[in-house]
Amino acid sequence: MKKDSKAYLITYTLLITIISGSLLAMASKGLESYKEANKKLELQKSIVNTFMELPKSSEDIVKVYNKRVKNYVVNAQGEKIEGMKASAVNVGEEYSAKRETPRRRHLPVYEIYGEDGKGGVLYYVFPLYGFGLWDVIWGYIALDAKDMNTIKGLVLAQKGETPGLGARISDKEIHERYTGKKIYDDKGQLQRVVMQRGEHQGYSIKHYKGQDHKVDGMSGATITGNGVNTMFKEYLKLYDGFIQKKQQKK
Amino acid sequence: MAETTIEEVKPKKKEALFSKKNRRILTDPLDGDNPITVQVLGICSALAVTAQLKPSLVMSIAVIFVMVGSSVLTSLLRNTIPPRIRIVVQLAIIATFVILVNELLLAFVYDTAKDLGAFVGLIITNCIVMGRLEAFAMANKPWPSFLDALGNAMGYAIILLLVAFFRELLGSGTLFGLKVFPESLATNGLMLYSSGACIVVGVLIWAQRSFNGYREDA
Repeated sequence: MKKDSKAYLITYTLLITIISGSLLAMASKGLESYKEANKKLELQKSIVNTFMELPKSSEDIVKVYNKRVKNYVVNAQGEKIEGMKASAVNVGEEYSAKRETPRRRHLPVYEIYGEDGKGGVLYYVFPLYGFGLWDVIWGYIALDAKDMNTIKGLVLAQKGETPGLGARISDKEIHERYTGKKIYDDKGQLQRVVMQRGEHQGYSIKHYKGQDHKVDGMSGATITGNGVNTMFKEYLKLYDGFIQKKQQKK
Repeated sequence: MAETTIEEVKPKKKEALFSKKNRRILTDPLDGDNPITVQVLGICSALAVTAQLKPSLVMSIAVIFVMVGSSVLTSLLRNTIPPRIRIVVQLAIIATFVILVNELLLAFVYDTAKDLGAFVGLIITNCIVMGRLEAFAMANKPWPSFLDALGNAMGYAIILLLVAFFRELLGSGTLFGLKVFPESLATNGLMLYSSGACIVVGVLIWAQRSFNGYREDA
């Protein structure tokens, strides 16, 4: 076959496509179990991280998760959906599939128990999901079960935000800014916790001390910050029914 | 299939693996022919991922792997690649390696893979990789191509890490995420932006040229 003949060109292109395609498919399939395990661990890690310092090893994280975390699914009215596990809900898929009808989403709830896994619920953890600048952002928020209002901890994560700027939302330092803030005002209205413009040089946590719904923002990541603010408002609104119910019980 | 039209000129004596010529192929791109500071290629990722050292390091390793892999493969295939579609073939080879790297990162260093986000995928569009395939690997044997790719990728990596070092130090007061400067010392927010990276790259180019006396041909 001549090297510049059409037949050679087509054969060559086909071969390259088939070889590289099947190679990548094999790699993707072969590594799938690792990637799945990473994702599952990631979820457990995020949830555990909302209420405590992460243990060093992955095994310990899984141990804590299995002992202290129970989960179920509720609807926007705050009613438990029987027979459904939180792991069955893909928050991202729920988000895009029910974009126009957010109140029909399935909402996972994670209950956190004491260190021995017994006693009453200490914290409730809810997922958050929204958009940053380049791609989706998500997170988990832990509320104190005593008042269903005070933030015990927050974990945020991102996929495509600018490294060093918007990607900082996955830093612990940013998460700590939210600890102790409140999601309801004195009148019992749901308020989001808003990232403020600018940053105050390492004194972030102190700077908005005593202001329940304000935290320090991130320099150079205004749009990601806005995404976080919106995510807070939109997602917690869905859990309002569930939270109200829990508050009334008290 | 592998019928060749180009006549191979066999060298009379076998060339040593690290002959002077081969050493130059490896070391030239580190300084005098650096892809970033002299050829000004691959600037986009040099500006984008260098806000911190850790992602820069992983990015460097990924680029080294992709460049070496695709260069050697292209060089092995060079006599079979139809000239009319060589760019497409090169692109397919690069893309295969990049996706492979991305899969590996996701499977084994999940956290850093998340930090890098889209930029690993964007290695496909890194001009250095394709530039070296087209300019070198298409016309040279696997071993020199390997050295050339390694040299260029290292040249890229050195600049990436240098820029990241200054940006992370001045912009966040940390190195590899560890606090270096005391809290009271104000960090320079400009360094977190790509424009800060541009300034750092500029200063590096100036420093390098005043050191090695390189001059642009008029």
